[in-house]
Amino acid sequence: MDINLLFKIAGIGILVTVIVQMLRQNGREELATVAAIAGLILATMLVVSMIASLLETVQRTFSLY
Amino acid sequence: MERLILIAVIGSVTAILMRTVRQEYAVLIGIATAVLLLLGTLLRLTGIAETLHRICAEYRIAPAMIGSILKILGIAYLTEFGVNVSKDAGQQAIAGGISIGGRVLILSCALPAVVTMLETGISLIREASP
Amino acid sequence: MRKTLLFGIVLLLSVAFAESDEIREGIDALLETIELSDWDAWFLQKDGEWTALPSEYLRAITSSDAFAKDGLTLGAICAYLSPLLRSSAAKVVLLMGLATICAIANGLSDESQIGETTRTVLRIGVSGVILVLCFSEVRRTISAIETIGRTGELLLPVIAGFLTLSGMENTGLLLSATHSLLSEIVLRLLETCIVPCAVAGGVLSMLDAGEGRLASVGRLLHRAAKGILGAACSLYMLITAFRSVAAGSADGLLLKTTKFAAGSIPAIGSLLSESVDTAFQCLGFVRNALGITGCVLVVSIAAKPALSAFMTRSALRVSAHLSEPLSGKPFAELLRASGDMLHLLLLSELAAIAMTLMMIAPVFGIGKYV
Repeated sequence: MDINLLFKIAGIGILVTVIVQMLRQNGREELATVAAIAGLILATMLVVSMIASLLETVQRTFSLY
Repeated sequence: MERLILIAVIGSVTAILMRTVRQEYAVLIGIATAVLLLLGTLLRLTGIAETLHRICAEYRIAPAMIGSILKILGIAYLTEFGVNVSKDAGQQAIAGGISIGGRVLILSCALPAVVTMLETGISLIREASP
Repeated sequence: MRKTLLFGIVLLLSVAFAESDEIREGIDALLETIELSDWDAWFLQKDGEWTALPSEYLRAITSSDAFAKDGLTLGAICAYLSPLLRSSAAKVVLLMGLATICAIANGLSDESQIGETTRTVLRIGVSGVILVLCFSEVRRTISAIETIGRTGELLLPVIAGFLTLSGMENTGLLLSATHSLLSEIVLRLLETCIVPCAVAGGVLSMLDAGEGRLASVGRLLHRAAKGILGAACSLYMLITAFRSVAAGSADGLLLKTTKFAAGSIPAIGSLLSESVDTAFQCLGFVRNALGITGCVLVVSIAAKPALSAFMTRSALRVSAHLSEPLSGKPFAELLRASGDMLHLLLLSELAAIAMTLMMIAPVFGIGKYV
């Protein structure tokens, strides 16, 4: 739970951009779109895992049940 | 404290970077930064909550009252977080929905506390009157 | 008729002293006539502290060692105060924790209505907690005022009886008159008017926290209660002071004429007048001791609730000051309102104690008229 996650997401973003550019240059539009969506889903899952741990901490601290 | 500021600065800059390349990642990075900041703050709050519970046990104040106060605070913070995230993503309608939901939850949590307080006040006045 | 009676009593006593001329025996003889079992029972029932039983205390202070050794000792007070201090420190910590939570809630943004709702709800929750904290204090203070009234009633027969026995009827009558003034008017006023106004004022101000109409009604009630308390106390003290001067001088005159009359008996006049002096000294000594015992009884019964009320109110005030920069004005106003409520209750309890002690005070004051 530290700053590496931010860099991971940023890294995925940059990676996805690069891959999409390359695929578009090679003329594979659909693969580019698929790659973009896949990258987005990966990043979203990372964020969702972070939100899940946040919610758990909030539940524990405020005894929300 | 320095860590939190560091995370905030790095997160904002990265989000701006991402906005030029891929806009959706900017939103995700914004969410992630906010989550990290909240987590950092919450860990400090746990100590306060425990101290309050302990003192309440000494004074025979129903721990339910302090519990409901803390619960209300938690709901408020989560709602705030959700509203801000939705607004960042540009979805005003979702933000409005979360806000209303949060308010309803807070009021429903608060109702027993309000009733208890009114009862205590009335019994205090009745105790004092001849 | 009264003069004859007094004369006869003093003559008998002087005859006794003329035989032995021993002050000690005189004091013991007088002590025999005092019956303090009621006071003992009340002392035990109400957990009086820091002194011995009233009858033992009376014996101790009239014995040859000048000051009772088991009186109010500093050690006993400190032993009682330290757990009290700890508990009020814990209360301050609790209130500061609540202030921190409110401060965190204030950090929520103002523009969304979530912040507004949360702040209002949190304030109500916090005032509920404070009410629960104050509840036991208020109840204890109210029962303490009642106990003080009952104690005054208990003190009256014994002291008035002794005064009448030693011929100071005016002061005895004064005592009963003052007591009826105190218990029927002043204490009744306290119980029916001042205390309910104070409590109601406090609760209303807490509900609204600073602004709004309920809070101003609460403040008005508080001020009215304080004004009535001040007026009642001043009136009572004025009336009692005037009456006690009148009664004291009347009794002094009576005693002086008795002394003079005793001295002017032809044969044994001079001897008799000396014994009359001794008799008066013994009477005065025992009378003062009885008065002191009465005062000590009142204070030892009523001191504990007063101290704990003082500690709670100080805790509330300290927290109000400390939390003002932390969580803003409304929260501090809340704490201050409850502190004021407890303050007024404490003042009424202290006033009740002071007025009861004033009721006993004429007992001491006769000495300068003899």
